[in-house]
Amino acid sequence: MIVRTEIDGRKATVAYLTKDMNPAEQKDAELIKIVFDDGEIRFAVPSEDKEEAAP
Amino acid sequence: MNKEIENVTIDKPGLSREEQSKFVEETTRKIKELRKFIKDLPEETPAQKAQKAARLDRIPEIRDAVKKVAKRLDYPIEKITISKRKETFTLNGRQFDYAGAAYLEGNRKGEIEIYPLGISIGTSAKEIEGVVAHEIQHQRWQKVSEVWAAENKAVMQDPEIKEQKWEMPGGRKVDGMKPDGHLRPPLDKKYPIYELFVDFSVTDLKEEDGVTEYSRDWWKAFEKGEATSTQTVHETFAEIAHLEQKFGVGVDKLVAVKPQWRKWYKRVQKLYEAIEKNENRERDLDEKFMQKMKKELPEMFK
Repeated sequence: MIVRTEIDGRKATVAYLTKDMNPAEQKDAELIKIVFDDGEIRFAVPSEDKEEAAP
Repeated sequence: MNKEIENVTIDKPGLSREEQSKFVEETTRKIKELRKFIKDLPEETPAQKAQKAARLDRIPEIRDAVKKVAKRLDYPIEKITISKRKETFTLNGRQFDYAGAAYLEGNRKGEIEIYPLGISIGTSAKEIEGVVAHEIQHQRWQKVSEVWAAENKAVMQDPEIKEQKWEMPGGRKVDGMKPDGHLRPPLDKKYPIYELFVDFSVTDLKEEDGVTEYSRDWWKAFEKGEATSTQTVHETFAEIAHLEQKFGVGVDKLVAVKPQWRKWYKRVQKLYEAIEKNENRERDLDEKFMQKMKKELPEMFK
């Protein structure tokens, strides 16, 4: 799933992905690719402090 | 740190005494707010500290992965940094951590940054290598596309191309560009990069529909008007590099990559290498010149 959005006031195109880089729905995304209109490309993962912190 | 803040002399030239005092008051208020904000920050739990330490422990492994891929793709290692910063943002109510960045424009242009604190513990070294290859390919294609765009511009502005001096059989005179966009000799030799990419067609590439599910998704988004052709081509080339890294083979052996993409990817890689070689040579020449100057200038000014 690829959508246009805004992150911290910057316009961007976001692709929602699984861990293996296959397209995913927004709610299931394990990885996201952000292509900002100003020429910056970023990868991000959901913050998982709680999951990893669990015993 | 507090002492340092307290000892700062606030000097704003051009302000009246009253404005100066207002400025000092406002700055002091902001410092107090900042101190309170820092004091109120939640402390990391032991589990969060352990998670942070485990992720930072992977830095040598991540560095090795970066070095390996940069070497294979001949990308300057000094342009890739491994940052210990943690950067988060919220998107649709969900919090995300940045794991990597590639800067295609701006003052960090050409740089790649990896954030180990944003890389899940479960991510394998192989997966990290794939992502690094993907990001490096963005930079390689960016450089090639800029050189290509510059040559396109030069072609369009070259008055010689518009001159009606090429004689066709039968005596009719025509200009320097053929109806299919190619240049007539000797102009074709003057603009080799233009010639190399003159048949590059987004329509043809769209037909071959990307190379992975991920890049296919970009082409779908392009069709719906949600992504540009520039972004989509970028992502597809990056994915080919990702596949090469993942399977450890060259593009010719990747069945998922169809002929058109294979052809253009190979041209992009070759041209990138030629550009780099040329830039390195120019840099070497500059350096030799500087060394010569350093040696000769003191003599000249004695």
